[in-house]
Amino acid sequence: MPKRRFFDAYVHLPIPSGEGISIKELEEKIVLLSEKCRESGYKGCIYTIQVRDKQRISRKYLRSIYNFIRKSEKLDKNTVHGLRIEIIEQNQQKILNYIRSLRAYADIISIAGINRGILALGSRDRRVDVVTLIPGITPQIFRGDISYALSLNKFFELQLYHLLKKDIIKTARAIDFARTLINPLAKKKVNLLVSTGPFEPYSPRNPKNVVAFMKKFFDLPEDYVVKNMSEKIEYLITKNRLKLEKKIPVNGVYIEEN
Amino acid sequence: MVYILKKIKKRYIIIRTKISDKEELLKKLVNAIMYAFGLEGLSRTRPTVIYSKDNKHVVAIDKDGVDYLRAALVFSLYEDVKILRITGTSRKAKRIVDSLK
Repeated sequence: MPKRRFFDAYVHLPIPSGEGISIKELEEKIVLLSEKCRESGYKGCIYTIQVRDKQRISRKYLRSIYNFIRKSEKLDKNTVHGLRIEIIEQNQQKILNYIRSLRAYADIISIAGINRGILALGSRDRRVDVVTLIPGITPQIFRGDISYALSLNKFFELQLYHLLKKDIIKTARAIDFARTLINPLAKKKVNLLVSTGPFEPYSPRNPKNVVAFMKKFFDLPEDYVVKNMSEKIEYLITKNRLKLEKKIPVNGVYIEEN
Repeated sequence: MVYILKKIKKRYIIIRTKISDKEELLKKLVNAIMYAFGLEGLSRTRPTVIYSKDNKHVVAIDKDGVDYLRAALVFSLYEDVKILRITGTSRKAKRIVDSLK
């Protein structure tokens, strides 16, 4: 039986302000992060850049990071590394502006479900791939959101960063909040990602341990968690790349090469 | 009247850590399980260190406790305790530990 290829969907990269860190430094960091990721049992990693309010990102910078990631992917065979942009913003119009300007520069676009409006936007907009759930902040997910997410094949994401706190009571509370968020999603078999999150320094957990954690604490079926962390996320990246290369111009149409 | 209890199946986990002392490792594993699942989880896993060489150890636990131990290890960093392999017999586990560099 072939081994599962697990992906860490959130490997935090520092914010590319253009002045703080040079591209060379960032490239070195990417190499270190990928080594750490592989050591802990993942096959590939998705580097994530956070975009917060009033922040400007140079597109040249983004393009060079993306190219480096694609290049590093070719060096070690059978792996897929991706670039993801996570938008953390309260204003919906600003989110739409970010999506419009940054969609072409990343494999995955995700938004943090901070409030009701953003949660609804995230589950309805085709350009958003992942909606991040923050236990304690994200409100209840409604039936309408779930049905849209199912029809558009969207992912909801839970980060270990939001669950593993230093204080035991805070950890227990976060797990409880997460349980109420996840239960309706798991019932309807909506895609659910479990990733490391923006730990500083980056400290990934073994994917098999994460699967066992989800099984024991959230009563999720093992197969459901494993599939989402491996096959489905890889499929999402390859599909989005084909879309960016314009080989999938419209949903359901694939242009073959001669 | 003599009751014959069903033999509980064991699994043997090969672990690599920075710790070389058996007792210390066992204490760490017990603490991790107690933190995550409490006494109930500990009774389901019942870990014992049966063999160690350098910083590689073989830990015997109940078959149903594998998931408990794995889940408990999420709360610690991956560098601290790393599961290399899980086997069904202690002989095989020891052989693997001996062969590892």
